[in-house]
Amino acid sequence: MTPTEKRLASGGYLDRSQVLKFTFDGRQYAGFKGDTLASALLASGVSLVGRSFKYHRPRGILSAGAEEPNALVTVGTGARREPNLPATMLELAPGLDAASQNNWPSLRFDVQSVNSLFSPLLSSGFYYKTFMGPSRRAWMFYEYFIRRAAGLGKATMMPDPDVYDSRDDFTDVAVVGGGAAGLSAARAAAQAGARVLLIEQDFEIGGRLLSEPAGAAWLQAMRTELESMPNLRIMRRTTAFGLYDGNTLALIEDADPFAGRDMGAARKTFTLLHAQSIVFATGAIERPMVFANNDRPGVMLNSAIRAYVNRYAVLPGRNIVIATADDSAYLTAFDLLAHGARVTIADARPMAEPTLLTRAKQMGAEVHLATNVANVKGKYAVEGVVLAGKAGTTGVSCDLVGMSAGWSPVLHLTSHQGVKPVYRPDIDAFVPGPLPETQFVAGAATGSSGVSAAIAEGATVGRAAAAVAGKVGTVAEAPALEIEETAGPTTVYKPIFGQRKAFVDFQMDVTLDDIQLAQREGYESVEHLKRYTTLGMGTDQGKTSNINALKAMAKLRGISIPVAGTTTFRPPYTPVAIGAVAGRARGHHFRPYRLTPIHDWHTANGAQMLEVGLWMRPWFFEASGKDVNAAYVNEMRHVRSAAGIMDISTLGKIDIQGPDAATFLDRVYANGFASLKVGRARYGVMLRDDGIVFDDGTTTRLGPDRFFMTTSTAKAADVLSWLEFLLDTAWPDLRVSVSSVSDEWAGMSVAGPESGKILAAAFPDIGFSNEAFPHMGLAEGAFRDSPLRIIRLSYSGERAYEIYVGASNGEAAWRHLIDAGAPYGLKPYGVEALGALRVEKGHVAGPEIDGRTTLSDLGMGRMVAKRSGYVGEALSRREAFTAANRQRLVGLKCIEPGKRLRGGALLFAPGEPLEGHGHGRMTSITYSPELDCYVGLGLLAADFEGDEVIASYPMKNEVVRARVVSPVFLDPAGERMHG
Amino acid sequence: MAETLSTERMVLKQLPCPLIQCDAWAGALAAFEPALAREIGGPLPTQVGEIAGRDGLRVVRAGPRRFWIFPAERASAIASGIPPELGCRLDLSEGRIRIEVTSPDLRDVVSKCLAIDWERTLGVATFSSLHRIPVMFTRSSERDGAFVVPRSFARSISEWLEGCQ
Repeated sequence: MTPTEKRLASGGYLDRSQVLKFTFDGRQYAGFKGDTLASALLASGVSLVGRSFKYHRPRGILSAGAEEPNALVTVGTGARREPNLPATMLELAPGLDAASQNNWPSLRFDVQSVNSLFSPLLSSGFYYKTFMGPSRRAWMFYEYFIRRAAGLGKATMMPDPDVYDSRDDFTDVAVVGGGAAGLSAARAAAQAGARVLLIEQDFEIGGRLLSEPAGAAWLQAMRTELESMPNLRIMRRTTAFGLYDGNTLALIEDADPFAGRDMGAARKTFTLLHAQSIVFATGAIERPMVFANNDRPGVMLNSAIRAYVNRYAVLPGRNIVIATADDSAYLTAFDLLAHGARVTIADARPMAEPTLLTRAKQMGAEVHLATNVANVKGKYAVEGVVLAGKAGTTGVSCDLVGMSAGWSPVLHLTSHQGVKPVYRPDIDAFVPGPLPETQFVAGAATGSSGVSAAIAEGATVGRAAAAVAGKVGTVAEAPALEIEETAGPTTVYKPIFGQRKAFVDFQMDVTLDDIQLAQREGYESVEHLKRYTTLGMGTDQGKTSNINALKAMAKLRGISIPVAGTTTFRPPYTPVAIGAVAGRARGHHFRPYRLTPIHDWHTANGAQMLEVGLWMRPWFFEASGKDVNAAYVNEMRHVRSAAGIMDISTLGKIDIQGPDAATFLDRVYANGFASLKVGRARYGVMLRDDGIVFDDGTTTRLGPDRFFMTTSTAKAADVLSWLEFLLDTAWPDLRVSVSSVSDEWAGMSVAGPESGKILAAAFPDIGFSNEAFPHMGLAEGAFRDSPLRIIRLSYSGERAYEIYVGASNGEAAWRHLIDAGAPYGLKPYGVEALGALRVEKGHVAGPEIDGRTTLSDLGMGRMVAKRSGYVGEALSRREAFTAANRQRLVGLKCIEPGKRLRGGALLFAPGEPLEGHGHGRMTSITYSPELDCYVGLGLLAADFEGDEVIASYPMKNEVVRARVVSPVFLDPAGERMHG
Repeated sequence: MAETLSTERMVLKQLPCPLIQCDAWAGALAAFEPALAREIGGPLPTQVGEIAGRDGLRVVRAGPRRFWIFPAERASAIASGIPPELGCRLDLSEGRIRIEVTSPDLRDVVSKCLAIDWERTLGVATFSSLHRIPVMFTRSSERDGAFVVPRSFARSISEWLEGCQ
């Protein structure tokens, strides 16, 4: 037969006016719009399309759907190379460039097909047993070669240039599956008044009706009706791959290759669909039979042959053996006979439906009952089969073998939420177990074998699904469909042991022998069988193999199929591109960023910006130095000698008001706040319930019932959530409102000996003398049309003011201060200097408040004295928190000239081995211009003896001596701050 | 401030967003509601997300005991007379930006931003998160919508919306 002879002259769901050229393994072919890559290859006479995973055996096309285990190809090149795509699901598009996988140097001549000769040695688990010696490290050596020898396609290592979308969608009724049942359900639900979303993984709706010539008119009428319904949407090329809580379906949608995508349009779209009710009309997958060499190119599922003949107008063979244990295969035989093919039917059952037998014989088929295929002849293509029946074995020449061992309802989605499948012996299949009242199943997914039944079931559940959403409008009866029906299996097909190279899992190269081996070695549970043999672990997730495998194991163990059970079904149903799940949240949009109201000034004035959490903050200013190390030291010196201005808008800011606000704060903070006077600020520390320090900050009393709290930048959201949680759960009786005002205020700190003069120049209406405005004092006013708050607080140890202005005038206020401060040398500084200044002053921050330290650890135990009743108080008095070796805050000063300290260094006693975790660690370090050496804060065991430590930093192999000193390196009396 | 971005299929504006937040104390809601209604001169929305409006003033029920009042312009007097024993008031006019989006693709854009049911957003305020940022979304038609977002995220969100076309 020449390639062109395989395409039928008419028929199929093809647009023959659109001839599409494509390449496979570098050779050009042509197909039609409406083809898949698989159908176009078959039409072109290509039956060898790949090599198997382990043995590199030649493989062809088994199926016509998502279950395909053999015909996996790589599409595209360069950055767009995508491996392991089933040719049966690849919609043929202009210029499609596909290649076979797992072969070298070519598909036909693959060197590693020699593996097949060694298959007795390469049985399941062979590498667990064989490559473990001679030493414990031997596996590391072998692994490289084993992984290179086995495998599927190779993904690109280049960045993905395509765009993906991730989105949410909502509907009343989701219908998964666009076959007869799904179409009927969608129609009924939509007629009842519900919003309906019909999801179909194919690019055509219709499911198996596309393979039924007699269903074409019904399908066309239904398609026209559904597409005209305003409350019904159809998503083609969309796979529902996971079911999650709250009737949430995860969908992956491929872009229409004929839609002419814009540059920015998504190649794939990930959708989280929130549905009030779901109809699963997911159909069923035909099961292969298990016989020797059942994996040869040209051995296909009977339903696939029927699809290629009727949907794609391809006659994949002329001389065909149809092996079956199911009536439906006869319909395939009839279609083949009608197109002039020679057909031999090998029915494993002792008897079939008489009318089918009669018709088959009338049409010229040769029928053998109680007959199985025992072997397949041919390597790259089927040349014949050996039939085994009552009368012995017979050789039959053929060029195509069809097989059917019954049908497996697609129950993956219904099982994702933990609903166990139930075995139905009458149809020899598992069906979905009892579902929640908002989920429904119809059609072949329930085990129904007839189209009429599927349509009726679809209508019923469509109405019920709409009723869940409160939609109960009138539903007209679905148009009748006159179609030939078959009854399904009448006996349970069981694999016959003793056959060599009888494949159960085609993709993972698992044979009946492997299953027997697993059972002999004690891996009897289906879960163990799966992991020992890798059965069902390929990209097809065992859609065609799982039931045959568990049947084989049940037979070996002498137990029933339901007792053997199934493996656990987990998402995804089909492989999902990770890029689609990420959507546009990558690169610049990987996460959002936050800008302070002064951001544009910073970038225009030489700030090197640093991402701190989500915030963009000035790291240092280029005018201060050529790099951060030079700049931050200069900025520190300037703050200590004149004045610096820092953008502190990122601090968390919380408005707290209400008659019980003071009581609330008194409980939230470990140190008391009820006594705080109006117009005064206080440093406060919060504990978690377990007595560990949570966060610190300052709170200023604006009025008798109103406070302004600041938190660390990092903990702003956590603190607000914590306050809300306490009010909602612990003290709902308190009349307090807490609200984030972090975005409300621009914040800036002016620090340094000249800061008072600068503030006085900037805000002449406010007194800034020590008497009028002491440390921890507050002044309020207005700047332009925005509110103004100035609080005298110091983080650096210098005299300093925090100025808060309504965010809309933040940059104007900053400029105003810069101008007013110019005569006094005011310069901006960045977060590197900010952190260094606080280390010199001995203030703790994030590295010290790390979720492990207590107030006593941080030297703040006296703050709480004998207070009680605050959050975390009870557990803060745990015995473990007073252990003698508890690590406490210390200062550390480098005493080796020319060397430096590093954050994270481990602390050891001089002379002891530098092993283990030591007695503590450095938490924060800086170069101190004041002391002309590196200093740092650390946490050191309280029972450590001596005043010298060895700071070891293994990452850089650095060791340095440091003196243990007070954590306050600068101005311990606080004269600068108060002066 | 009004920053505008125009592309072929989208017009996006960043605008100031005057906003007054009013909270009732637990147990005082029954007295608080008429007091607030008197302050604003009209009835309050009864359901969370519902919008009541009059004379350029829009009131959104943001929570069971929380109301957001959006005046056309900043006005310090709005709701300033709420008795402190019933609840409190907070001016949030500096901290929010209103991003107005006009696009024939608005539904598609929103689906890539918010996990909200488009069909139920017309004429109501929907509180959700965009890019994990708390936002309030409203729309007046199939193509005209607005996001009220924290000021610090406004530029990031605008870029995100622009990229969702």
